[in-house]
Amino acid sequence: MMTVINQLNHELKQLAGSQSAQPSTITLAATGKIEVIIDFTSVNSMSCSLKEVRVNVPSLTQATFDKLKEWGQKLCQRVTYLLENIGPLEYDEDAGQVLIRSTPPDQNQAGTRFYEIILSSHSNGHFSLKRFEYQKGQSGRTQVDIQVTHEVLRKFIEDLVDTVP
Amino acid sequence: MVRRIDRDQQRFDKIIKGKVRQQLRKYINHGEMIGRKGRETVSIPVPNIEIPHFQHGEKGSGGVGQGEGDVGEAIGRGQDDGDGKGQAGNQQGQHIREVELSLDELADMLGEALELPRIEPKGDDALTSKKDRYTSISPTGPDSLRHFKRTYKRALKRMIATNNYDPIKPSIIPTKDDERFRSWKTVSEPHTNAAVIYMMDVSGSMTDVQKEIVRTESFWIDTWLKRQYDGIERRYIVHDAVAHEVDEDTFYRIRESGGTRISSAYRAANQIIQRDFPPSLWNIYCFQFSDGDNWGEDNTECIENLKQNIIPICNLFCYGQVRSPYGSGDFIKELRKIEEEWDNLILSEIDDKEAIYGSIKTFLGTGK
Repeated sequence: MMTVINQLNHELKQLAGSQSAQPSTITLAATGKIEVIIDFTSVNSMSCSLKEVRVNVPSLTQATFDKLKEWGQKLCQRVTYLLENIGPLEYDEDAGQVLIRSTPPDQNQAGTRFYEIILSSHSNGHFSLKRFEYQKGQSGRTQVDIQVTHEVLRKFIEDLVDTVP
Repeated sequence: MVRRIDRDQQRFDKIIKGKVRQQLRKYINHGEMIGRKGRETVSIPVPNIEIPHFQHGEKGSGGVGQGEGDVGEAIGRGQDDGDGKGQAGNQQGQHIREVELSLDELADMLGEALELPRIEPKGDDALTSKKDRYTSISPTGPDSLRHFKRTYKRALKRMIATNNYDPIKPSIIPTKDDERFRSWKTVSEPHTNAAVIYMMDVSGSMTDVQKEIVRTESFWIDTWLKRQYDGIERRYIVHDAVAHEVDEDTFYRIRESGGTRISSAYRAANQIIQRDFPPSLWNIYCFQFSDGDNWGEDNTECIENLKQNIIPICNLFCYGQVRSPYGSGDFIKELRKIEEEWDNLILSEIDDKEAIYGSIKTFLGTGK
């Protein structure tokens, strides 16, 4: 079986040059029946932009909340190379969810941008990464694409899979 | 006759109140007076009030001298100036003067500045409170309540009746039996009361800055409602994923790291209303503050609870969405969907401290 990174490299080669409003979804399989799902909106030879990264971890089904917290903490320690550092913000034990966001978010005159990760142990262990933008004067926030180089994406996926408890 | 010092005092008070009125917006937005709140008054720092003072003449320019010396002898100018380091500043000194205003005066200023209509309480004055009124006279009581006029009148009557009174040399000596004392009766007074329930999201995404905004806004809301009602009962609810009823101090200081489930606060508010404030007797006000980052699936329960249990029995249900470092959440969008159905549902987005002034006007400008 190909490693997750080899699968990702293969997919990036396949998608190179693609660009569309409708995201192209790829699924990577890792050991332990872990599934990594990425929604790409555009890919070129060096970087890519993506809507969301999701991970399904069947082994975390009905896992204790402490395991989920542990995953969140490890992740925050390892992932230090995105545009902002990330840190756990809210723990909801009843719902089995951990909310992680950029700490602090990227703030400028126009507004705020931040990463948001939700870890959940309900029904199936689940990870989701998105990026949001809030513009001053607007009500609510909108989801924006995550821009990363291939190298950063590879490292991120590697860390993501490695930190699964 | 009004004494001159009283007239001057009134004039001075007027000047100070004018200053406070001019800068009320600043005081409201920055909460400068909240930490200074006394029981019935607040101290406000009012800068740049010119206090009248005596002007002294130049040294050695004449006047009355004391001590040894002959007529015509020059008076020394004292020692030379010291040679210490440092230079005088070139900026005007900041003169801060603290003045005390009653909360009622403050509420009136707020009402004037924001053009707030007076609240028309709903229902009748069905609630009563027990109050002691000193309306009767008793033959016994403590010395502090002795009624001197009545006591001396009785003594005079007795002395006249017993022929002991000499109008040429009047001398009245009350005895124990002459003494009369003020006495009270406990009466029930009807009045309108208001119950105010404050709810605040204290989940991990609400920072101290947001809580400070909530604190400032709650202070002004409180001040205004107290002015409008005879009695105010307040309850405080904090919530993350779970809601708790807490005291005022805890309300403003607590910080949790749990998730956000606004429905838990609504359930707690509903329980408090059912337990303590029958809606037919109380004017109920709910003020809720959050950054609007509710866990998505909880929104449906929130809206149902509001529509079924809370909004129909409230004079006002006010929701203030305070912008966090992560921007403003989506909960207010859910409320906007039902905003038109309820004229007592008031929504406000509070971006920063500067927005507090407008938000208070939005909440209290309905006159409900």
